[in-house]
Amino acid sequence: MDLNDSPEEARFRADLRAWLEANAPREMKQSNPEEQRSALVAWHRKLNEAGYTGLSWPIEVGGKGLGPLEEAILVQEVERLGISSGLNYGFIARAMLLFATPEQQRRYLPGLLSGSEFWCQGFSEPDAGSDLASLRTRAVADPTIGDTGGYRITGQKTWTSGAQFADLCLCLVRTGEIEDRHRGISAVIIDMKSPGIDIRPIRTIRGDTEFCEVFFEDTPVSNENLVGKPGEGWNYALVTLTYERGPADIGFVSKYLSMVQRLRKGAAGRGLGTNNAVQREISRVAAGVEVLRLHVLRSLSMRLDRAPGAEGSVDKLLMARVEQELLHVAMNLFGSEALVDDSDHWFSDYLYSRASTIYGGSAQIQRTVLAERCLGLPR
Amino acid sequence: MHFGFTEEQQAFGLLARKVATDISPSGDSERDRFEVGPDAHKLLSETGLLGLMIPEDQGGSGATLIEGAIFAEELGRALAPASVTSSALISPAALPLIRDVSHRNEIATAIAQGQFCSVVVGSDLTWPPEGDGFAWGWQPNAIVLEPGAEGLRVARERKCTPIVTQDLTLRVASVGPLTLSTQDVVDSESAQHFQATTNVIASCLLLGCMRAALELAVAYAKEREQFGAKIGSFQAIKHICADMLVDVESSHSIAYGAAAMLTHVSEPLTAIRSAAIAKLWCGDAAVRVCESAIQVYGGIGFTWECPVHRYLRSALALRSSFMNTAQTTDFISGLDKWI
Repeated sequence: MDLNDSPEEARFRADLRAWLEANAPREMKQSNPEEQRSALVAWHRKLNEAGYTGLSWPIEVGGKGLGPLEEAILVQEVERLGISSGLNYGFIARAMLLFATPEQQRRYLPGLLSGSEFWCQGFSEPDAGSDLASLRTRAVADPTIGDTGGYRITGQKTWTSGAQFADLCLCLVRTGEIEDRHRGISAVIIDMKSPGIDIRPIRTIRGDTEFCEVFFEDTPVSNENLVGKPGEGWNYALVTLTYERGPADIGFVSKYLSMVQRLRKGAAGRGLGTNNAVQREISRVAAGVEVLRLHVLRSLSMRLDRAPGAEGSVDKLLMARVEQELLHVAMNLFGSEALVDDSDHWFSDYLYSRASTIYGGSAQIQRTVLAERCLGLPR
Repeated sequence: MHFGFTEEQQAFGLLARKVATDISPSGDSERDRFEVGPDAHKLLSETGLLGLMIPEDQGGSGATLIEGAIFAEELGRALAPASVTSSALISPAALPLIRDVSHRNEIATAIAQGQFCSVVVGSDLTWPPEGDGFAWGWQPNAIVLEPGAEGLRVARERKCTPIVTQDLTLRVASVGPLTLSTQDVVDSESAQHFQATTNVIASCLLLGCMRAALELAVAYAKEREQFGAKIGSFQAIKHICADMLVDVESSHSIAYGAAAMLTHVSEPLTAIRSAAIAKLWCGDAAVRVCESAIQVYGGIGFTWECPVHRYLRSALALRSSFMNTAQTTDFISGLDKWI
């Protein structure tokens, strides 16, 4: 139990730091969302060219064959500079590595890594949110599609992040009956240029359009794009959700650390640097971030021995608790200014923090998962 | 970079759990609760656990703070008498504050041979003491260490008046007013290290308390029936228990994380800061978890017979001991000006 870098880790970190010094952009925040996105994509491609993507993926599929801790070092070092660590693709890749055929991996993983193809994830539906297993988007077999036959997809997905930019959609569809619940669900890869797809951006609480509604009408998908066997889509969804939005995978610890620094600077700038009550409030949220940092390190270390399971819901709930408390303190301290002029992003960040107990499985779902699967309470 | 126990540490945890359970009181009498009887003393000596943190050349096991933390968690879980914590974990950490080396070695060897030992804190249980002093986790014939001009020293001339606290594991002894300046035991590097070590040990005791309270509450929720169903099948109960688990697991992460950072130090101030954060976090989490456990038990939770109040009492005492909530938050604010 030693939290310091091993010699190999220290070398990896030093090389990365030197590379970042020479190559990292100073500032990625753009006022225009389109420009913001192209800046992110350009940065992702630069990381990829330098070999800093897919660190923990197997070498055979273009990865570097390193471990979860190298991924953590990358996120730490990049986000320390206040910039993003690139496109978030890990959760799609993780399930692809487990369930996709070698042909599918060869076809899709390189584009995912390099950022030359963008992905979205079609899971939630208007009537299938927390109860994802009740999803209704139909996949009807059609032997006339492609050389090997396939399906025609009809239905509606929602909260689909980045659908307006996506080339491909990893989509959960119903190949069986509604009564089959999770056993009738399959995972397919849909080319977003296929016919019968309508994408309508949704305006979020912040006023931006991070996600969309996606409508499918008789959209053809060939059998070659089925991931795993028909009816096995639910396992795919579980793995993806496990890796999707936990703090270990999205690197929010660095983001929170810089927020705490901004809190302290902001308080000092307003003459509150010696105010005891203010300092205590900030110290409490700073403490929460340190707890989360060490908890994430523990979760990543556990992945060296086994795949993450239901206990990941602890990480998710802890992260949401820390984030929401942090932004509450920020709004208490700087709220009146942020409501008039949000150039410091506190108001926008505050609104975003409300999503942390909703996305990737609501806090209530996470609690039920912990109670039943970790504590063994009866269903 | 690795956060996890070695196989040896896991095996040590099992031994520590067995011993902590065996030495802990089954009865309710004052003598049972606070004092380590001859059988328990023998077991502690035979397993070398009293000398766990004493260097090997002074007859101890020379274990790291990580093993110390594991032992503390088990003592907290078992509601072991505070005199064991005080002798095996707190006092050894205070030894570097005794300036006279031969004197220091003498006491170290005595602890390794089974001598009980207790450090004087303030009458508000915090360190460093001011005004009147309390020997924390005192038991008869314990060596009492008090701050003085020569750093920490043995309080030879003091009359120790035992005082029973509301924590059913903690007895202190009033040693009267402390006349000498405590400056020597406040500002040095070893003083900072002592403070950080007690923060980690207290955090792990708190962790043990809350783990036990969570296990009791979950076991009860699986058994108790109302409305024709186990109450643990109701979401209202499930979600209380899930929040308790978040508190327990996050406390494990910060408590052992801080123990590891103090054991393999790369940046001393960062490690000291994490230890204070551990104390702050685990103190609040433990009280919250114990209160929730009482809630899950319902009316039974409000009775003396139900064991949960014992953990709540310990949690409250430990949260206030050595460094209390206000002190830890101010300490963190002070450090963050420099880090």
